[in-house]
Amino acid sequence: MKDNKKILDKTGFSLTPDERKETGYIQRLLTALILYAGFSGCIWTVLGLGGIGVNPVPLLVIGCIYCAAFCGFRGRWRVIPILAVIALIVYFYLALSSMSDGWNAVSNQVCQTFEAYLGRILPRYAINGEHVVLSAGMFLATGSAALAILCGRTAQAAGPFSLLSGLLALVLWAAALIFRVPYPPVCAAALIAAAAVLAGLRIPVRSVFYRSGSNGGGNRLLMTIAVLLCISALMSFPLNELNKNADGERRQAARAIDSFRYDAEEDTAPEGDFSRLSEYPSMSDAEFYAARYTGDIYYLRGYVGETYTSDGWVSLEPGRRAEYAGLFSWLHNRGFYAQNQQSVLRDALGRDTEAPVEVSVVNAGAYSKYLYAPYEAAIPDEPDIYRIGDENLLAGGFRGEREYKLILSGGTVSDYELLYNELNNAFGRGDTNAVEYLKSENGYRDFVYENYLEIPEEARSSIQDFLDGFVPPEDGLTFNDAKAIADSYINSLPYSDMPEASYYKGDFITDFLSKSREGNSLQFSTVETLLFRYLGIPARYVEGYILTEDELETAKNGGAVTIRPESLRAWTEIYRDGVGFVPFELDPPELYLHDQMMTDQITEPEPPEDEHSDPHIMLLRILLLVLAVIVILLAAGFAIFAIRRAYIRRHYKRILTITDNSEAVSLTTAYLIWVVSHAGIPYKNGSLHDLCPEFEELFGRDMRQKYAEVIGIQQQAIFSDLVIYDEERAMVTGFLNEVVGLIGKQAGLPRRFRLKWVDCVI
Amino acid sequence: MRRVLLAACIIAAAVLYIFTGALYASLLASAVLVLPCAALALGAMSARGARLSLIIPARIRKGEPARCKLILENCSVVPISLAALRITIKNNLTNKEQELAVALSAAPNKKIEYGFTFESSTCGQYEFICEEFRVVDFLGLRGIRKHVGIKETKVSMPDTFQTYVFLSDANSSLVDGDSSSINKKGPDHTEPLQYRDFVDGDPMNRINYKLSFKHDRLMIADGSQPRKDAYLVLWNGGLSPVGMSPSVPDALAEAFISICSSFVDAGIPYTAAWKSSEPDGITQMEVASRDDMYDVIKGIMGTGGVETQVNEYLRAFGGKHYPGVAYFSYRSQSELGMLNDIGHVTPFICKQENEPADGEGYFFTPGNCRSMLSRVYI
Repeated sequence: MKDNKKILDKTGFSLTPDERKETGYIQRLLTALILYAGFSGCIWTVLGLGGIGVNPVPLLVIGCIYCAAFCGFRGRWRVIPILAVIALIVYFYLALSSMSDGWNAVSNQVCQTFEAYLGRILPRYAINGEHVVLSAGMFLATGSAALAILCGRTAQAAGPFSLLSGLLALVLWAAALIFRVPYPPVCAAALIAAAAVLAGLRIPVRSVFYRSGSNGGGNRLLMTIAVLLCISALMSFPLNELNKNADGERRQAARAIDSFRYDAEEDTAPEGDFSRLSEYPSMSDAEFYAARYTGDIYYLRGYVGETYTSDGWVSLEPGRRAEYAGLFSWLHNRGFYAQNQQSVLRDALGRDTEAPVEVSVVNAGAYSKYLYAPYEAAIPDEPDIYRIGDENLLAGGFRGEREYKLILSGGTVSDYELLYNELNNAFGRGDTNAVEYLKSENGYRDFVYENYLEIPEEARSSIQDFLDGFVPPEDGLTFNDAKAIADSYINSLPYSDMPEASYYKGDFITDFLSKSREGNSLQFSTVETLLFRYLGIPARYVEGYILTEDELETAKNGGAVTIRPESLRAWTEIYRDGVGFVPFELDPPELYLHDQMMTDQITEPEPPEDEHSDPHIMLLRILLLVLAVIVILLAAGFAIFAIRRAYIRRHYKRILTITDNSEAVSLTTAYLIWVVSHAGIPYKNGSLHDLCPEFEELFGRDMRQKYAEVIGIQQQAIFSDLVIYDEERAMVTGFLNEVVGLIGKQAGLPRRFRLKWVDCVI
Repeated sequence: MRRVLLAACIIAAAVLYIFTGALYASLLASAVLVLPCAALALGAMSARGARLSLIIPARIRKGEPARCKLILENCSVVPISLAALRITIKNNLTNKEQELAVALSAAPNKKIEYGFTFESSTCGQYEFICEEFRVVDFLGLRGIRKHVGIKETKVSMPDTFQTYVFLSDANSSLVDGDSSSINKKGPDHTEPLQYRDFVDGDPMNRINYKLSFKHDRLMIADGSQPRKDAYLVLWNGGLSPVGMSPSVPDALAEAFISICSSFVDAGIPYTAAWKSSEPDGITQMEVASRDDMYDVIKGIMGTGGVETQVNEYLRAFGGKHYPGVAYFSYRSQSELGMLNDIGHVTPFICKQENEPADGEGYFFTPGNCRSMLSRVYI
């Protein structure tokens, strides 16, 4: 009122709109409930809260009540949200003693869930009370109420709350992308529906907010969105079938991020990704074999492939790792890290006689993601205590490490058999250190045997075929027997020092073995690893670099070890019980027999030509599917229009069949008026003769005269008892057809389309 | 912003779909494709069937509320999610305007009415203008403009008050002692001839030397023109100074019409003149009865934003003589004295409260208009 007076004084007049009906309470409540259902389902899934054992139904009920309380009451009912908040505060205060245990229980469950996502050990909190589930439920009730308040306020189109909801949706999206959380499709659909309705609720008109819902518009909007969501759901199933390459895309994206982050000077090893072998330069084994004959070789371990897939090697899934969180936590607390297992074993056996030497390593050109370290080494800093899995050493920092130090105290990994025998002897003597070491090693050994013997079914059959159908006995083979079998069969494969890059179709090992493709250590190490696994020996695929004994001696004497790109190599590491993982090399191929190498000139092979890269057909398939859907929708649309046109036009066809001329003339004239209304001659109440000027303007004088005659006949038919002759009826019908023809001729193509298919006039 | 958000949602859905291969990601991807396309298509369909009309009462009275209606008709089979428009209401007298932003939605094949109350405290010519409106789809992605071209003009009549106008007949000074009627002194309303300036070609024997000497220019009695006793009433209230309250032009108009009514009531013909917004110069209208006054009222109500300069009056009325000239405006121009060649000018100047009066004439405010002008001498 005061504003009105001010405007009146300022401008001399005022405008007072009528009271506008805002979005109905029921519509806001429905929107809030849909939003709450979406958010709660997704949050429940991403945090893994189902593992606590709390029944979600009471939480949903509380959420619905608080949604209802915060959907915006008017008038005296505005006190309800205030009462709800007070009730929540009182409840929190009364349940305070249980809140602590509830918080800890929920935190433990969330940590357990995120261990599966991250593959890292997360802390656990002590719970003092006995009723863990009840405490957790009471705590979650508060969270449920808070989420419901957010959803209720968002449905009222309150700005800050809408922003919070948007941020929450963004977090859920990020979690889905990074951790591959399996959200229930129903919850995703609910979130999409709520977002669409909220988008419709908040259509701004420059500075004017609009709240829809007047006169049934909001209900129609909800129905429209529901129909569209159903169509989307139908489309989603074939779309989902198309996207079978998500794992590959993720891997590529991770690789791209690593390339940026860890900044290798030139392309490094493929890190187990054999689907793009053609993109990586072939690495030569010449350096390795040359070094092998001059002294000891030190293997600097980098990437370790733990699980074989059809495209190569990947690390263990975080969810799988999380199952061993407790084991690794226990191992790390005992000071057992598998990366340093050799060093730990030597310490336990008291074997190292030389003083430990600190060696500097310079990683000039390789990925700075790993701390490339020999099996014999220990690093000064303790490895990550929270990491689940000890396959390699990861560098710290965002950009990794290019310079670091290692501690070497003598011995080489090739002495593993000696170490094994010594360990057995020490255990037999009851040596305390050996016993403690073996306690830890036993636990780790279980993990190794549970995870590093797996081979997919297709690869297993290929290996079996490669071994001429050999099936290992159930109680396994001895290590030496397995080694002999592997040796004999591997040497039958064609070896090439720098094989041409190949595109492997389907499963890598099946393709490689069935087509007897050439390979060097990169491909052969995969074959060896799977071979050993098949024969019952845990094995892993490793990519890294080698050091010669001379290089190491230089480093020990105060120099630094520089990792050279040409010393890149892939190998197999097998698990020797009690000792740990050791690198394994089969007999060198004939090309690299000692005498051969001494006398033959090894020429640099030509770099392989780029093969035609595998085209990405997934995107094309998606585009084709979208195009097909659009075509189908268009066809359906045309079919609907055609049926509608036939339905509307049947009225005119019915007129033609009427036997009574008077009735036919009357109906035909009415139809004529309807037709010309679409041509720009709207009929308002009054005499039909009033339309004559418009007729003349639109169709010409002749048509005006004919129209006047037609109206005369129509009036005769309606207002008199005079007979209407067939000629008169034909004249009226003919005039109608003439008008329709003229309208069609005068209209342009778009208008003609509209007149024909939308208005169904012509 | 919405389009940016939609593009971000499409990218996010595509990324999620490509990198997760989950069913819900497929659902999201298909939804971000289907919903916007459907929204645009449905928006276009609803726009085609949207019709708008504005209904204003036939008469708008000053100080009385008038109920107006905006009607949105949806002739399509899809709902109109949002029809957004602005109605501009302008008073052509006071040059004040307001905008009313309206947003409506309508179910299929339905009409919806939006009512608002219009109340004015000033007279004037009110224009209700709505050129176009926008039909927006349910996601707010695109607004389709539809031309509607609504322009309704209504006049809110000014109030009048009783005023006594005393005319100092200039003719008595003009024809002092020179009257056709020898039996009557003073103004002679039967004098048939009008006096005007001498121009080349006029007969020398028609020169009235007494008047010529008095006014220092040759003046003759024009045989072709009957004597005009009509006064001249000039309206220069179109352009009010910046920041002026709308009550000032309202009071000025009231005074103008009231004094003109007094002329009519006294049977004294007069010529009303004003400059409208049309580029036709000064509009003149000879008023002899109340019927003529309605055109005058309509004329002056639409003069908002237009100011007349003195020389324009001189161009329009140069060479003519009037017994008296009443001049209505917001300020007294220094060049007003030049109008004395046409006739004796009596300024009527309306000012805001506490604004100082300068010059000669009648100075009044909206508050004391009636009291100040209850008796005037022209």
